[in-house]
Amino acid sequence: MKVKLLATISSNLSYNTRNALVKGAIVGIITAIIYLAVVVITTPNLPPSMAIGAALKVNGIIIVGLALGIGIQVFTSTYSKGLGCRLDERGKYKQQQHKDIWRIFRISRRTTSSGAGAGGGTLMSSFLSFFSLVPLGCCGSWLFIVSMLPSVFGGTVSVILIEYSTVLSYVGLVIVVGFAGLSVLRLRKELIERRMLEWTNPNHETDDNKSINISTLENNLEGRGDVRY
Amino acid sequence: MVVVGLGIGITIGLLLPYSNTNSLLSTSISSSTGALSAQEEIKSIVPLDQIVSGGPPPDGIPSIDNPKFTSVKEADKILEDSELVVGLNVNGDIRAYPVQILVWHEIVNDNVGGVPVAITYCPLCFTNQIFNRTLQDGNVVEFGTSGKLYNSNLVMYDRNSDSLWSQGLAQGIVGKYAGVNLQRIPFDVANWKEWKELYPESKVLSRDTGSNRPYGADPYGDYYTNSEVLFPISNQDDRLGLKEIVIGLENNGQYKAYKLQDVEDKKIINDEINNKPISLFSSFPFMVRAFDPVVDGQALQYKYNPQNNTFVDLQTGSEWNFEGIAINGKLKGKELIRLPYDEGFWFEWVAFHPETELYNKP
Repeated sequence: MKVKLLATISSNLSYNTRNALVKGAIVGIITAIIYLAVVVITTPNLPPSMAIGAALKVNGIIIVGLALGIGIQVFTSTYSKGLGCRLDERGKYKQQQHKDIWRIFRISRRTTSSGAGAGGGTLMSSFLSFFSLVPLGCCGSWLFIVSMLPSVFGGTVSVILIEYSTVLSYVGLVIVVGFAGLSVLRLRKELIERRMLEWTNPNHETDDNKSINISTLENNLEGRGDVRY
Repeated sequence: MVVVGLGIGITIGLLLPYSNTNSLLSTSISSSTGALSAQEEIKSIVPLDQIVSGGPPPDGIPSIDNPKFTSVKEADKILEDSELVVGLNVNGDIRAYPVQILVWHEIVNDNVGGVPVAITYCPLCFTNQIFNRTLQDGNVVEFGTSGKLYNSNLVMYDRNSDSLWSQGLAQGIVGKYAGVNLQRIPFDVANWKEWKELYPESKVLSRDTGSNRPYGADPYGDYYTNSEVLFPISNQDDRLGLKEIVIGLENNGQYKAYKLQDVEDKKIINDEINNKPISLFSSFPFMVRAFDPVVDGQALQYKYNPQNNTFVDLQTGSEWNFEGIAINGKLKGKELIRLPYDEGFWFEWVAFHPETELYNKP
């Protein structure tokens, strides 16, 4: 029943949407797996299942939140690119500002900055959230790693990072999820603007239309009907 | 994702260079994973597969081997009144070891009052223990952290023979000294506020340890106060909460635990373990002292004297202070013998001593 429902939903999605969803889901799942792999490697005194269970219990919100945030980032980035956005075309942006296509590059630029922000948030959130795993082992890996912080950040900053690690890891998560949400909003706004542009000028040909046409062709060849996005 | 991947790389990179730095320790590592060869027969008194790696290499958590000390006045600038210190008095040489430093080192190899001692602390079990480093064979050993755990408790190694030692058992568990007992030395766990008032002449372990550590920050966060334990416990016993702090005593193979809170509430507990009388005194928060109450062949019973924060024995009416010295009455000048005990979380005590009795507060 569920499989049938998913198949129905899937067939109603455009190629670009499906592609972006799959990529976002894969990257989100891989993010969570890598996080848990770090936990297993750094907690050799516990069986992997026990270490993963403990990590999910202590940092479940962080793990799920990071996976979702990164997944959404990848989804929006892939979706934008599928509409014709290419990071390597940013150079053309300045020369072609008068053209309608400028909007595409604007998304691309924003997606890139969002990605950097989300990356920083991920680094901050994942690293600091590991600190709460110190109680998994007396003289364990994380006590060992945390003890090296003063060599990198100095004593005062290290004390702050340790004392407020939980709060700061959630701040990092908020940054990741915030950037992901921002990307989605910008993409949505852009899509609305583009649709309005198409209504006012039906013969307008952009890279966007081209990609849609290609997608439509692919879908028609596969017998999957019209494209929706 | 890349960032998390980098995290793995850095972690593995940090840990790899320390592998195989010590022959017996690495042999113990291989033996604990079942890869012990016939040539590497190692004496052990506990199942090797129960000695597990905590992650860091031997001495990854560095012991303090040349401790420096400051005055109470100097230490008071960095210690809060509510902070805990481990206090020791050997032959009149009084020293305090702040837990905020011990948590980053776990072992201090020191000489106090002419006696070589090791001050040890396992944050996970909240077990403090002080050992005489002179063994029964006359050898003086120096301890380091092995990076291993037995029953989620600190496993030390000695740098003379590379034998592994369990803090909880106070005993060698693997190697040349397997089965050899360490002599426990009585100590105090006290709030800095009380310690500095009781012993203003005390020496206090300095933060100048030779290691750059974020002293003042506790990486265990609220672990000590929350009710959760995230790792498996070999023998769970529901008679007390997992993290209830207990005082554990042993006499001829019989074990008995006392809730710290009970001793603090009652101030004095007169009891017996395996027919051996013991007395527990508590005059200040957290500080409990166990004494052999027998004086001149007579086992004394005590009651608390709230006026002077002292104790009065019921047999002679003599007044005793917290040091176990009679300060007034017929027995004035007499001194009780202090007994060593274990102090830590209930889950740790009962993991090592599943058959333990538990004192029931009347």
